[in-house]
Amino acid sequence: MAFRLMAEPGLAEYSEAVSGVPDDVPGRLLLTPSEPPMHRMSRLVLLPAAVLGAVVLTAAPALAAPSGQDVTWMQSIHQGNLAEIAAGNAAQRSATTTDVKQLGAEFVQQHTQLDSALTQAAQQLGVQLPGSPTPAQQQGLAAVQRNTGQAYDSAWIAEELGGHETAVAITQQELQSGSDATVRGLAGTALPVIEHHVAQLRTAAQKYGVPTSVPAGSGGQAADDELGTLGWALTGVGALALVAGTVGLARRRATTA
Amino acid sequence: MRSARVQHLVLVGAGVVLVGSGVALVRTPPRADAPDIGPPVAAAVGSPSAAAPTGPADAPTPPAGPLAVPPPVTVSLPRTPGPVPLVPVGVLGAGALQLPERPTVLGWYAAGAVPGGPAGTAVIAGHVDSARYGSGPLRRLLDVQQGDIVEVTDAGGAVHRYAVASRTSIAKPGLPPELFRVDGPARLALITCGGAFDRRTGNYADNVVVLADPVP
Repeated sequence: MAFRLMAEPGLAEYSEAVSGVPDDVPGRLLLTPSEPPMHRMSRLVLLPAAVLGAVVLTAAPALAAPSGQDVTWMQSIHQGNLAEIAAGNAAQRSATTTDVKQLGAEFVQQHTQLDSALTQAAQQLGVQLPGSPTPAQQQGLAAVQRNTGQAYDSAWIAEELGGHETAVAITQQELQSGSDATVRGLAGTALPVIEHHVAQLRTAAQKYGVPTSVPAGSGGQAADDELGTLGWALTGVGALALVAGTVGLARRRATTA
Repeated sequence: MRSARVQHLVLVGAGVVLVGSGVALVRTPPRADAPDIGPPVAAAVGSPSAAAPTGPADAPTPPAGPLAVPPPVTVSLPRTPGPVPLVPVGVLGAGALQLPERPTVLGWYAAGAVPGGPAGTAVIAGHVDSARYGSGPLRRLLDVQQGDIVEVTDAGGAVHRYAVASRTSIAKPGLPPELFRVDGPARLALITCGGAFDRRTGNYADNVVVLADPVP
């Protein structure tokens, strides 16, 4: 319930100073004496309201809970951190170029740092974080791992570009519409780090140049093969005629001999 | 008796001719032709002098104003059932784009522009067909029309719409670097294979490039 209250815009500012909850916070209204007097109500009728008010007051520390946006960002960026740490470790084992190995090491170190601050805040704020990267992130890394040699490094860079650009977008979103000051602070710290990683990845990708061709077909199903089919048909009929003619000639020679 | 001999000789002669022409036809490569429509790629994307083919590293920080667009996750093609999944892809040493093996998964060139972004050509490519998995949705690129709508959905759920403006066949390997610009007008390039198919090597001779402009 505190969750839904916090989803109201503008409440974030109050979340840290519970003792000084301002008068316009919903829920506080129930106990405010300046409410319109309820002349006709008996004390018994007022009792549930008082109880409810007390519940709201005791639940007040929960007002510090972050908004839905804050929680979504914390969970998503945590999964991103986990994915990038896993990818960084994988690069140190499997990459062929020192560039990518170094990038991997740097990612592991910096995303571990970002993530330890994040998990600490999540604990304080009572936000549950997922234990592993998303299925899509896991599939992406698994697909990268199926490559060898230079193809591994190129695939790793592409996968990491995708992951980091997603992280930039969701972190900008948190900075724009997040509520909790602590969470926004974390996003503010993370953004330049992730943006720097994107820049490093783009520089690394540049060494491979831009594509000059796209090897985008190997089956021939899209190609019109009517001539080929006609060719096989003609060859078949021709072969039959050839065999029949030759057999006829040979038989004739045998009978005349 | 003499006429029977002639008949058999005619049969043998016809057989030789038929087998010869049959083999000649079999040896003719099958084709997946896609006639060019609209302005050619170079003209449509911009002149090479204005291009910055090696540019992306210089401008890593997104502008402070608009939010960055997340990477694409699916693309919907004209007359194709359902959205087709996308994965980020890079380049191999020889300049070939590294594509997903299955024609039913397409690649987004991650070092290029992002679909829905403010500038540059976002590149999506994939196999038109595969010896192992058969043909895929990009076969439709061979017969798209000008004005056909292509929709790209990003990781945040936003849909970016494009209208097909042109189609150009380019002999491999000859894709112009302007096609991979991260600056210049915002566009979408869809790339697959076409032209003559070499059965022996399992390769198409051309790349088919479809350019599409953003639809507001």
